[in-house]
Amino acid sequence: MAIDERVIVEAVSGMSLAGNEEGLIPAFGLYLTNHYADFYNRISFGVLGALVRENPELTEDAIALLTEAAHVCAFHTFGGIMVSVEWDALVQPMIDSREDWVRGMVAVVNALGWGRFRVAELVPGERLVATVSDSYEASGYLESYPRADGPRCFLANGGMAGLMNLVYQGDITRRPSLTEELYREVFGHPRSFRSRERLCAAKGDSHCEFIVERMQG
Amino acid sequence: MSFHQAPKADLERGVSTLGGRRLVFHCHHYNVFLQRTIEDALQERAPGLLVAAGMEAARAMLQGLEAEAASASPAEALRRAADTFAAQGFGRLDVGLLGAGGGEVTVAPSHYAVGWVSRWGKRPTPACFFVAGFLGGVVAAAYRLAPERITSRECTCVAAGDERCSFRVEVW
Repeated sequence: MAIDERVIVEAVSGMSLAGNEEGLIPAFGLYLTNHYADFYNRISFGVLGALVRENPELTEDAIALLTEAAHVCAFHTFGGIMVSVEWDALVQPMIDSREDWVRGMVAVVNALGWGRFRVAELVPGERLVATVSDSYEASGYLESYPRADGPRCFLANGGMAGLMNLVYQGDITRRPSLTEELYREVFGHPRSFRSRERLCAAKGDSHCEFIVERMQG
Repeated sequence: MSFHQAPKADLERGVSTLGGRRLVFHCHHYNVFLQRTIEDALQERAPGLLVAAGMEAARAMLQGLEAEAASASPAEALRRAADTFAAQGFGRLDVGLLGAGGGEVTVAPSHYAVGWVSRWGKRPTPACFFVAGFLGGVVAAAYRLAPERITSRECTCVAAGDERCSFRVEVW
């Protein structure tokens, strides 16, 4: 059975991920929030702007900080989902190969409100090309800033690298504990995956595109 | 009776909105890690950015909800905001002492305090900047006040070792 994205999106969307009697959303071993894209965009672009205004040479460092936050997000959120009972019930029966772990997680992401992700190319263990339309980061950026001179989807960019690291570097298929030690081991490996956003709607492209490849070590 | 309205989902586009504003699911690891990144980077300027962003996000969403279906009274608008806040996973607000002049609000539990403690343990200062901003936005939207008339801050925080998270909203 192949990954059926529509079934996954509809099922996750139908899970009614809303606050319990405490007003919290415990799911996938995490506390979720159905948060405001406006908030993330304000604080992410705000800190980037503040740092770059004062020290333009810090641009890459500021982007690295936001990318690191995205790696942490992917490791825990995607990782938590992929070792959850919900994953076992919904996605696992559709999985025939390791690559289906990537495709299955991309389908789940499409129920999170981040935009519509598609796998354009997947070379096992080596490379992922993913596209996104309606990225909340790019569309949020364009609401408040002029056209960007570079990509702006820091969360999605780090998220795609995190997904490949979970599947091919951390071997999430063995269901490891998602500890800080594992995080450092996986993302600190000299051959771990990193992503670059080649196309971004925030800089005028029709959609966003991410190229995820292993570092040269 | 709950005043919460479910978000509108466009599954084809991967877009979810409430009051016309985008909503996105994220977990506590990302929420508190991103906040810590900003606090480390901006130091004493970080709370200003975090609170202002929370206020703007909340005000825009609530104004959108009010435009779609106006609350019968400011008190109902406050209740709608509290129910929405809980449905979104941020915790339970007690807005019973909140009014046109501001007031005190408690949150039990607060997602940000719970998330911070679970990831890093206690911290010396309050952690729930988003909540402080949200409350300012709520008062602005419910009473149709300009946001610059409102200040909001967290007075006690579970993440800082206090028994509860409490906030003070002031209107000039």
